[in-house]
Amino acid sequence: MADAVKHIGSASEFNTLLASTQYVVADFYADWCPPCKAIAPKYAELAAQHDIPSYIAFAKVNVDKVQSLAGEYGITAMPSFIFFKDGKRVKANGSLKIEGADWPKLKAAADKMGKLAAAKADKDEDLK
Amino acid sequence: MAQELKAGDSFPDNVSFTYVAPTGELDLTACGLPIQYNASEEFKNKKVVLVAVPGAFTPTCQVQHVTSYLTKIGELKARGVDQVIFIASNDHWVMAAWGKANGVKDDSILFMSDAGLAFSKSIGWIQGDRTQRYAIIVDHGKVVYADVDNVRGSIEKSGAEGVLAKL
Repeated sequence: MADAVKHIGSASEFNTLLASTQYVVADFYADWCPPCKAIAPKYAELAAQHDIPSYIAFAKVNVDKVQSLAGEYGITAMPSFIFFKDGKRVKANGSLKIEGADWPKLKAAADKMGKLAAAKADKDEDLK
Repeated sequence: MAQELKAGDSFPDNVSFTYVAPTGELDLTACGLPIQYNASEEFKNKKVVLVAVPGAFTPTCQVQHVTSYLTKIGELKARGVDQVIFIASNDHWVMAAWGKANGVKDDSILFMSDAGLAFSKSIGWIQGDRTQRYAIIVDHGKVVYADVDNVRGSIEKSGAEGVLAKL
């Protein structure tokens, strides 16, 4: 099965994603960080479950490879999960940033965003 | 030629250290990001105590030096100190582990690496491949106090009590 996660290679790639997708979840991680590795398969599952092109995307940003983004979003701990709506940072299920591999918190936030995105997609479909 | 720092001097430009962001309660579920700390810039708008120790986990440093700051941190903050920073020649991973070993879960005391002894060399306060034991108080870019403990095992000049007396 194809990987639904968007692997971000540059700041401009990230900005393009933010401009083209209504809801974005971003996972800031490092290759050498065990908690990041532990939550990676679960994050991929969330992506597979919720991904809808143009409506919601799950991105992964390697802090060593795209250092400018880590700096821009004030990342100090990995993994960190942040959320966007219409290109702007928002809270998802009450969390502006989830720090650490907190699966229950992440799942709750991702599921909520996924629902909102799916509802939007359905509504737009009805209007076609 | 190394320029010793003294009270009244401006804190030098281009000084930076590296450290790992503390993860506090998240220790088991998160990794701190290594950060380049531009000390010269940061010290311009803060009151900081910079403490150098010959080595993380070494006897005097561990038993007396760090503990003196841990017990006095409240008093230091009451005197307007925004940040206490410990540096040593050890790399930032060792410094981060030392901070954790001392139970520091937040950024009240930051543990940083004077990588390559760049800063300590520039002020001439090194001994072999370690820093000497010194403390510097910087108040919004100005050096208020800078002194070295030359007596082995003594933290009279650079321990928290000595520094508090100068604040």
